[in-house]
Amino acid sequence: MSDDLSYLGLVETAALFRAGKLSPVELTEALLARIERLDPTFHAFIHLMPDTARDTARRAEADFAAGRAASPMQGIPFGLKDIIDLAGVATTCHSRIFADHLATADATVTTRLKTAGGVPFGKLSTHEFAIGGPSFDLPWPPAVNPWGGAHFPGGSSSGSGVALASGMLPAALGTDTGGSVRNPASMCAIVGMKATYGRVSRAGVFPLAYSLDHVGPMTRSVADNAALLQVLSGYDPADPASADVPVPDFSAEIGLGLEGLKIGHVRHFYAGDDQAHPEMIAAVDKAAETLRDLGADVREIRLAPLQDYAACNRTIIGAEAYAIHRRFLQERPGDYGELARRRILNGVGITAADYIDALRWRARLTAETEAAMAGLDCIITASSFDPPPRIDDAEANERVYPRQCRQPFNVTGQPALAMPAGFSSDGLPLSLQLVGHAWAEARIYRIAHAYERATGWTRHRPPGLD
Amino acid sequence: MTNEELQHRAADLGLQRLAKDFPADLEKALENGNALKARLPSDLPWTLEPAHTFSLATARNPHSENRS
Repeated sequence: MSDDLSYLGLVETAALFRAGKLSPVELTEALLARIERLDPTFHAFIHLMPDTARDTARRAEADFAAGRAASPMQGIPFGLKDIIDLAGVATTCHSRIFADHLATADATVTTRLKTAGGVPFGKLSTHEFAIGGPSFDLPWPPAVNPWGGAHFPGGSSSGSGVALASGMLPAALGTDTGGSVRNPASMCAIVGMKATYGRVSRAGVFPLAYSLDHVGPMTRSVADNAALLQVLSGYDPADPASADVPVPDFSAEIGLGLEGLKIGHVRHFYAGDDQAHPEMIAAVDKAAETLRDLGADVREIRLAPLQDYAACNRTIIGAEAYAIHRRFLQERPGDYGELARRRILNGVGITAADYIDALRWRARLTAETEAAMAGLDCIITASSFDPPPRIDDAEANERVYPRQCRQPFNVTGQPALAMPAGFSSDGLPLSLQLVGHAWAEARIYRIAHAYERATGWTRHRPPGLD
Repeated sequence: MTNEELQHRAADLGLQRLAKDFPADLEKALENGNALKARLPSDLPWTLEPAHTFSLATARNPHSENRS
């Protein structure tokens, strides 16, 4: 078995399977060997399921042999952030409190991946209850970024980002309430999409904040991300927020180029309302130039101050997360890690009237954002403000955690994608965020793919892993 | 906030155990909550409804069962 298979993408792998040039069993064995070698260092997995993976890969192989394989997910290994249910396996939420919390049914997204023939490899590290991390006082260690080797991988979908960046998996799911798919995507130099609120079912996913939670695909390339979102999307009556809207072909616009497209550049978020790291500012500004060079009409636009969106997002998260965790905080406060306890507790003093006001503010911010985007195909801005700090530098992590431009699009529910935009002078990932109109994910993928082809940033791999 | 005030507040919230073991966490959380409240706008018209409104879900949610 070879490490050469480690960085095969989802779309590329599906083509090799169809052509009979690679088998699901061969890929599964190669990735299991890599996980065995690398995961003791990077801690992407909370629960690895080699037997289930091998059994499922063998069935996929038989389906290919019998000509029954139809889905691009057939035989593709995937991992789930460990707040997403997989029947028969504990959904620990990376917490002592849920260490034995056995899932009795699959989450809808798990069912979709399994039905499509995907090969479940296991459950992936997260911040405790998708909010408290990176933490060293939990039953499992935090995931570590393969970029730099001792750095924060972002969160809360940390294990998902690390598994992709280190070549352990070609596809993983994360969740995003204030940026938790896009943060590890930014820190690990991969691609993470938070689709429109209501596009992907949250049924069977432990909530952080009901009205802001999204489940999102995480991959190493834009085309892979579109293919994975295709499998995940669709109306689900088991999710009260699921939208009964048509699911388009998310890959339909890939390769069409950028001529005639109009892109808004929200520069004041990261170089005005607050100041990102100089190398991050330069990377996002350079991305705007690149998109212009590719034929897009890129113009600077203004939205409400970043701090308004952040306060709205944090007020809603505070109130909803506290409501979900109140009983555990009353009865078992010492079973939380310090960071999760402190962050969830922030909702304790938010009154019902404050919460309602935040929801009403959300409606206003959403309308204002949509108005500012009128006539545009997409907007671009930063994702993270800083390259990843060292994971053992608690002060730096606490400082960097809120320095980001992702929360606005949890507030508005718009689709938003984070992707690599270069590397710092220290060799650490820099990133870009693209945001579209509601239900217009395909347009984001078109623009992201053009940028990816022009720059090649998604082809870079962490050094020293092979 | 005095320790006595904090303990009263904790009792109102049912958080006596937390306040006993982690009093600084509770005090800081209340401060953080006040900071968030201070940023909420005061000019929201009553006609502006919350973004997340009640809807009648017709389907049974299998994930809402067997969960404590």
